[in-house]
Amino acid sequence: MSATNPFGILKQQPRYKIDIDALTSAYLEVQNSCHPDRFINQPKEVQLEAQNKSAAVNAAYQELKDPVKRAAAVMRLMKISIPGEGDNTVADEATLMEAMELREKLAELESPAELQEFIAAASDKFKDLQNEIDQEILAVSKNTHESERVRAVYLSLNFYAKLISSAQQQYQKLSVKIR
Amino acid sequence: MLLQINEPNQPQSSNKRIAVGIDLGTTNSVVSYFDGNSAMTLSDDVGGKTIASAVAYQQGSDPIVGHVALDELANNPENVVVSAKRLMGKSIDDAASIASKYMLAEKDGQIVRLQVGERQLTPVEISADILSYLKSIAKANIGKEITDAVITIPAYFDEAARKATREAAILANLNPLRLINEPTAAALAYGLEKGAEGMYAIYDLGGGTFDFSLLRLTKGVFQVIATSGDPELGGDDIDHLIVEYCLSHLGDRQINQATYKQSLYQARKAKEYLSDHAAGQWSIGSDEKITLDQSTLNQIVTPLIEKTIDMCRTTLIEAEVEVEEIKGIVMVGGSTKMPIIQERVTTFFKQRPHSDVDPDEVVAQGAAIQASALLHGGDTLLLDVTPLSLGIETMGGVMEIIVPRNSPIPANKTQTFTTFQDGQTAIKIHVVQGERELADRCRSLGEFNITGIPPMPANMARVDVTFNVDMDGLLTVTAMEQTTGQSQDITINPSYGLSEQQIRAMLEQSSKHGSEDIELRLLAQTKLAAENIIHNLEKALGQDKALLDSKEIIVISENLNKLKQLLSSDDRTKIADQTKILDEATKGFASRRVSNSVASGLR
Repeated sequence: MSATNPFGILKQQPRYKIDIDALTSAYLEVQNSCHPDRFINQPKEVQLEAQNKSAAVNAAYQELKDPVKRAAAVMRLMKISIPGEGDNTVADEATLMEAMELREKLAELESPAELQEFIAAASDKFKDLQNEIDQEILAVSKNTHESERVRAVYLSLNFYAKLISSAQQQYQKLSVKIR
Repeated sequence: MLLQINEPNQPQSSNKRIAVGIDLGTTNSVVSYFDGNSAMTLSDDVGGKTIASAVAYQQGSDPIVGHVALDELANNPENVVVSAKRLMGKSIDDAASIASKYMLAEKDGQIVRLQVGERQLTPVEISADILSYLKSIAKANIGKEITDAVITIPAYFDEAARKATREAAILANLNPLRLINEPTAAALAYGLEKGAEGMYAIYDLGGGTFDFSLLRLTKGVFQVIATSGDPELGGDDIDHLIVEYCLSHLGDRQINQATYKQSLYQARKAKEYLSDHAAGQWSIGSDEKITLDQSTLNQIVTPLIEKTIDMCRTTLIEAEVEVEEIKGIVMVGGSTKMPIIQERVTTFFKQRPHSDVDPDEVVAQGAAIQASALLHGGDTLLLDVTPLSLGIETMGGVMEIIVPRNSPIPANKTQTFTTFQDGQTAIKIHVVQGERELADRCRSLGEFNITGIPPMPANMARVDVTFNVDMDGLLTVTAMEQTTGQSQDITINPSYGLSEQQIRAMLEQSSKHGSEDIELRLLAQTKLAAENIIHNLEKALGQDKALLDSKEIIVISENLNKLKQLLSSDDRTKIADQTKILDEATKGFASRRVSNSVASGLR
């Protein structure tokens, strides 16, 4: 497998649904063998190589841990173009409307309790989308579907990740202010 | 090349490198050595394990480090530097904002220098003096030349402060094997000893800095999940708050630099005393004693503690870790000895922090374990993260993040740049570190130029710039132009800090002057301690001679004169012994003076 395939680097099956604990164990194992700390008495070139390898392992782990980046990694392997990376697919009108409404709703929330509720709801939806993209990817690989659906779900997934992150930031600012 | 294999527990031959672990603290420093079985904290000749990070510079003698230097604050505050670590890697403007605590020398370019007596010294040189003293302690204990050290730094130290620490080690003739983060070092020492597994939180409130780290411990791997902190929040700030409180109670009294320094020292003593006493009296901001009790102190420090708890909360949320998942809290740093901090941490984490580690020694011990593992191999592995985001300034002064904070290190990230003018052959890139959106609100690490781009129309050139964050958390940059395939290593011109030439010049200087001979250092130290006791005793006799009967006066003056005579000799043992005798002979006098002054204070 090529060095840019994060699944290959961490010796994982290239699929969307993965067991995070198993991923972490694999990461620690690979890192243990190539980490620069293991080569400190070696010549400079060997140390540098270890550093590059170790950095690549770190990057692969960060990529696969993240539900959005992992989706992009799978899509890249399946040669499905990724919105925002040379692909200009945009979400359909209904999704765009929904996104705008959610953003507006978030901006209006003022109490920590409301925000928590909002975050919980968005996180549920985020989980559903992860299942959905997994299904869509499987469908494409079995040739039962075209790849547009994958791109559409990817856009939603990406949107919800950002939405949850801004909601969390808002929640933190608020809870610090209140105390 | 032959691989050298070391049998564990085999004595190392003398030509091998010897590495120690050093906790270079704001207030205290500790040096530890791992002998293959356990990490031992090394003591100086009086058995002290925590060495005050204070340096006294006297004319014509080597710098004096440790508690003796701290005591010198009472007599010659202008010759003593404390808390130099707070200025490591700071720009002249940063330093000016904390200048009330330091004596900044006249501006000379962008380099921070302190006026210490006649000398002007950089924080790097002062730290190097502390390091070389620790090195000499280690040499005296181990009986071998120390070549290497793993030095701990606050996790939240930025690039400039990390660089400055490495430079200090090089100046002290120590190979900086690795810089590791203090909380991570603490976790290593703690985790190994207790065989801990699972998620652990390290709350580290030292003299000058606060760090909070979340780590997952799995079969010898110490994986840092997230870290946060404040490089300007520590026990020092508590001392300042106490002094400010006292000054405001004295009707906003103005005091001079020297009195301020002494008041800070008294405030620190008050803080330490109030950890296990209800109340006491100190001379802070005035010669008269001021009474402080625990509840007043708690009030003074509460805002500062809440700031640390806010950071813990934010870190947990960002790392998506629930308080309930945390298996244990390890407290590190002298400031965590304060009962109010223990209580607050207990309420927040819903569990008592572990109290079975010595918060003063655990960091250096972790560093020693890591030093040995690096040189001789080991089963443990530290996986740390970058504390701050690293990025570049883009159009409109916006910071574009290249390596986000809490990324595991080492990290490599490649970004492609292009030209925006026809025939442009160079690109200038400004590297910044921090979490603010605007680059000028972040810390500037420096600028570099990518040169030698073949002339072509705008937007055609493609230059891949790779940002490398190494195991010390330090940045290196390489660039490659795609059409020519030529790569170049790039030197970043630091926005401030020392250039390589300056470091080299200092190294030459120090090897000419500084003596690594522990005997000479100890002699200087012993003499200074003796001078201090003579000075203090003569002052006391001037004030309270009436408290002594004639027989006592004779005994004391005899011993006092004897010590004075010995001072002209270079017999360290005799001077030390006589100092002890004099100290014994004046004990009764001292306690009578204390009760006398307490009585008069209560009157």
